[in-house]
Amino acid sequence: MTSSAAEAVQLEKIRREIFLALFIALAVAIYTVEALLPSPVLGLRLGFANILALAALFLFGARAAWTVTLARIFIGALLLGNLFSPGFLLSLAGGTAAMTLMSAAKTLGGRFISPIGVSVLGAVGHIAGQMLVASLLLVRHPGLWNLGPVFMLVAVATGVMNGLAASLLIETLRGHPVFHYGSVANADHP
Amino acid sequence: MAWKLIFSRMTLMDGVIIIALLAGIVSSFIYMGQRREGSRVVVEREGKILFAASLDQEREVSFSGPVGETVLIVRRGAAFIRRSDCRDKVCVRMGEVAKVGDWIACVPNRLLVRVEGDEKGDKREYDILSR
Repeated sequence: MTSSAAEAVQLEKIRREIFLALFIALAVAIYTVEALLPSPVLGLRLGFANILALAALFLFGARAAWTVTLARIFIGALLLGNLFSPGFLLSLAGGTAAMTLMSAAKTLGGRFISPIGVSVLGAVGHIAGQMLVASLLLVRHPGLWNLGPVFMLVAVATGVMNGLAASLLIETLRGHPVFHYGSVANADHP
Repeated sequence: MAWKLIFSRMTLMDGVIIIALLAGIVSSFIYMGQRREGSRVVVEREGKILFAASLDQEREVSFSGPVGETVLIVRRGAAFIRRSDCRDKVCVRMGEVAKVGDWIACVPNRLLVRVEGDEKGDKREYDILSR
């Protein structure tokens, strides 16, 4: 089989889309399972689904990461049946704040920031977004902010953990032929 | 081992971000620890006060709500929920409250337990919090 340069570009695009679809599917699966597990303390979750958004951010860019996160939240809400419920609004607020911070960090930090740093910022942003919306809509009591430091501490820990997982995943995927940009045409002719 | 793996994958900027965040968290813990000890415990349901008592007296009070009984204990300047008929027992696990502004929420039973200070000092503190 021979492939022209144009075909190679198209092939690369299709492969990207397939990987993105896989990321979204995995993120939705992880998110749904995590939501069904009883949460240890007050709705704290480990946020493993963010590993996929981090992978998309580092491999495909900010737009892809936004796609993974927003698709995960909306599809997850359809599966859990909590679309537009308070839990959904908290997820959406957290996801939006986390993605804003993460894409800004990646853009500004460039190669000086690793998935671990971006992940920690994302986790902290997620808590901040959730707490802001919770304080505006759900718990109109200033005492809510007393919980902030505890949540933030957990966020830093889970952020480092997820960042490490994302860093390992990204490295593994970069070894895959799909991610050898420029040599895609050769991938068909080993 | 795990730490080595994490450090080997971190950049200087990651380290700076994490240290800055941890510094912020530690200082807010210190700031919160400096709040004054409360003097009164107040139990509310949907904004209405059900019960108020001094934190110095030993008390055991039971509140009934939509899912059953919730038992509040007041002793040695602190208050905590001993048991509750709710499913998750979040209120029980929230432990003791003793400082001004501390609170315990029992969401299924619609209870809010909060600690207040003396009338005078309390007002000032609340004005700062809520402007």
